[in-house]
Amino acid sequence: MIEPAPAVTSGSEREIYRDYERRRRLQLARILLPIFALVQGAVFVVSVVFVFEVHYGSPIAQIFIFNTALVGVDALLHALGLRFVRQGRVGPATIFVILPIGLTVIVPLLVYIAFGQSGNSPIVAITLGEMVATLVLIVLSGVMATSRWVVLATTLLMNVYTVFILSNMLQLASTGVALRSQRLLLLSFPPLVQWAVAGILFAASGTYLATLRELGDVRVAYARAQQLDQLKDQFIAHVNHELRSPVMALQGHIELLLLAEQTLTPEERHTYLQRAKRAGDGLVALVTSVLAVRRIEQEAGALELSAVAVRDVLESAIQLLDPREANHVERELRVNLPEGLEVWAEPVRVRQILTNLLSNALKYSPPGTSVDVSAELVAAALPSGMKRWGREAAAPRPMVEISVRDYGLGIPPDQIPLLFNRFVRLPRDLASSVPGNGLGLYLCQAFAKAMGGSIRIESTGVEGEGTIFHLRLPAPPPTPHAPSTIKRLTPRLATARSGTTQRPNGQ
Amino acid sequence: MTPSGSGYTVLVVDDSEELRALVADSLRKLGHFSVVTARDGAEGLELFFQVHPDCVVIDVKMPGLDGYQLIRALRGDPASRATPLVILSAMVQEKDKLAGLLSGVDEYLLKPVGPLELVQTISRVLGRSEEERQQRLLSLLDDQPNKAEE
Repeated sequence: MIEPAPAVTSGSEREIYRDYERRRRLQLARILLPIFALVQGAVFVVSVVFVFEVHYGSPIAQIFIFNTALVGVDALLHALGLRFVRQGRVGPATIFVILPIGLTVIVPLLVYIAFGQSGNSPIVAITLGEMVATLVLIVLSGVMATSRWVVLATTLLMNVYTVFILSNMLQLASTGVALRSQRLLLLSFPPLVQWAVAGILFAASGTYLATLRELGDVRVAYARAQQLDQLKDQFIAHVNHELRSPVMALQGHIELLLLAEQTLTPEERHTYLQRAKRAGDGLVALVTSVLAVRRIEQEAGALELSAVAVRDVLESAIQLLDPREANHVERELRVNLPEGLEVWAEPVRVRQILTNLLSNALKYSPPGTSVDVSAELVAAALPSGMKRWGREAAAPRPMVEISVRDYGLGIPPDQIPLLFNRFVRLPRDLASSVPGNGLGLYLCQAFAKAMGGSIRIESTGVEGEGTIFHLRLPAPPPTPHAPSTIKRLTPRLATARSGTTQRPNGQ
Repeated sequence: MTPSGSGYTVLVVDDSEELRALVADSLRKLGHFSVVTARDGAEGLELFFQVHPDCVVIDVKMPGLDGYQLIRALRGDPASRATPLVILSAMVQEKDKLAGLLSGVDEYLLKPVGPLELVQTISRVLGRSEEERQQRLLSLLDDQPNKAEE
């Protein structure tokens, strides 16, 4: 049995984007974490050498040892972050990329400023080094963040931090005094460089995200194409199966007639011919509905709309029902129609829709249960998709709703939207012997839309509560003294038709 | 020349009325078999133990007890274990054919099957000795999936 294809919904599209973004950041973290661990490790080694060889015993050595230890811890934190990458946890992995870098950039200088303002040269070196390191944070915010506005926020923060530590450096006894005359340059250049980097990232991450979205679209389109492909496979397998039985019945009875002609009684010959004809009819019906699908997709079909009495069209639809679909069992049909109710539609199409809905109701409900048909005039709003403003902003069009209800198994609510797709049958029907080619409802919906109406399914999926199919069609325009109404109607129908052509699967 | 099946009884289990009638009439008219028919697996099982047919023709897709379930039931019962079974299926995929043969049937026929072919197949199956049938089943499985036709 072929598995039903999963539906590509707008919800799953969003999921695809999110998944894409998640994997991108995870991949970045996977590459960046070991690199940062190594860089921090190198900084740690340089700091240790510095403490032991150059400044051992100097007054600021103790603070410097604290900072060296901090860098070491940060290197370890980066290494630890790889654990989260392996677990696929994007949030913690991102934090373990950014947080240690932030700590390395910001904490050491604040510690110096708080405890060690003794005018020594390491502060100047560290300050200059960290000017550069702030750029790393800005770049990181550009590549790791999900929104590019984070880059701007980070840059502002780094501006404040940079100006703060630089003005602090200017307060130092030795270097500070020497630099004080160049204060303007010292305080303005680094933030400007930061903004240049931020600008590059802002632009790059914008185009980057746009590319990502396009790639996401491609993936969605691919998933859709795959789904369609699966539906086609399913259909081919199904039609193949559906064709083999009638072909065998048709061919077999004819062969039997040829082989056993002499021994057959006239009655037997007649029976075989009739069975062969019935099998042929079944084949024609299958081929016709497959062809109808092609036709309705290629041309909207010039519909000749007229006022159609619901009672008449229902009666002719009942005439067309195949008694075999009810397993030759007498079924109760409860009809509740207001006298004189009419729809504005093409009689043949309405009959086709009703025959299909009634035959479904019979096929998918147990013998002994009734099928109910009712109809009423509803004051519906304009069909969705048609603009509420503009020339036709007049009163909402009255609609007629014809409902066909059975008391069968019902349809699981999550599977209802799938039913209007081509070649789709419920998984349980594919496994059953109920014949069908998965085209009936698709055609009904297409016909209804072409006439300015729609079909809606209501079901709880609870056995015995059954299913209600609501067919909505426009009521006839108020004739005879308002010919303008008819004129006004035409462009609307044209809109409805073109809508159908463009989006055959749209509901 | 059509083979004569007089003296043999064949049970036909198929949910499609048209095909049931066709298979039954083909076997009666061309092969002179006695034929009993059932609409689904459950009815087929019940009928089997009433009439003890010499061969059973089974459709795969049926409501309720389907073809494979019926085959398992028949193969599992000592009274029906040795009865030749023929699958009549519309499933074209290799894996379906394999599943059919693995379930222990003697022949896997793919619809559409002509009346004469049907009668010949059943006559052939009925003419095989128990030993031949075992041999054949083994060789069929060896040949899978390249050559399931014969």
